[in-house]
Amino acid sequence: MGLPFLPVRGLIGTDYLRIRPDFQIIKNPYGDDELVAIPAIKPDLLLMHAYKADRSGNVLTDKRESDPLLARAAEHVIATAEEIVPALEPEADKVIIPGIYIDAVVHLPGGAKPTACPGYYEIQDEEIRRYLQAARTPETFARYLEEFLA
Amino acid sequence: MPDKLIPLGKTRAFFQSGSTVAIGGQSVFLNPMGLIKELAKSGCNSLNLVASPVGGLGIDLLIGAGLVESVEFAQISLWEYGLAPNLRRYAESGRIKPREHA
Repeated sequence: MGLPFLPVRGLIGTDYLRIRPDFQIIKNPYGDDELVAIPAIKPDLLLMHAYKADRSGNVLTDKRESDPLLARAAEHVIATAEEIVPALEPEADKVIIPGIYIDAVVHLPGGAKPTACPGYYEIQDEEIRRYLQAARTPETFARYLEEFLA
Repeated sequence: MPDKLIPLGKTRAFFQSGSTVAIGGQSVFLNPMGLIKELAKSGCNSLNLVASPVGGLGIDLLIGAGLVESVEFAQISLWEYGLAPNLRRYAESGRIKPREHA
């Protein structure tokens, strides 16, 4: 939308304004009440993984994800995809992010692992458990990272 | 139309220290782990992350790698696997700035 903020009702009187000092109380220009102005989130870059993409940068993702919204908010977008197809077609329960929002696509099957890519692979249960075990201490996590980044 | 297909190694041209990076997917679904690995290997740090708005494994990993300055989110969790351990450790010790939309 390109708006600098959106007014939100209901936060005044809560601890929200204490933990988010950047949220400003504003006066309703059409009435006597007050609202909270929530600043727009403008990422420089979005990293996302998609089901399919074509070379023009159109990508197919899950309709339950917020990636389409983030792609419009971000200055640049890189999407990895399970499949590169000649021309992307709409599919049930999935949404297409138009190529005008995407800077680059990368063919990377398995690019969401160990997280799930519904329809392609499930959550890599054993690997997530290994991550959690490693993350119990900074020392064991440092060793996990060394391996992950190798 | 321009050809936007690039090899994974070329993505590093987009990475910059101190930049605001949104991470797609949520909890343990559709996290862009391949790109997160490239980002972590690129040496960029002081990243300001944005969850989508439910962050998960990818964001927790970047925090645990010490590359994150702040993270904007509604929730970061690992779904049925529980809380995000690195987020918790770094937020509790004041090493990252959590920007909550809970």
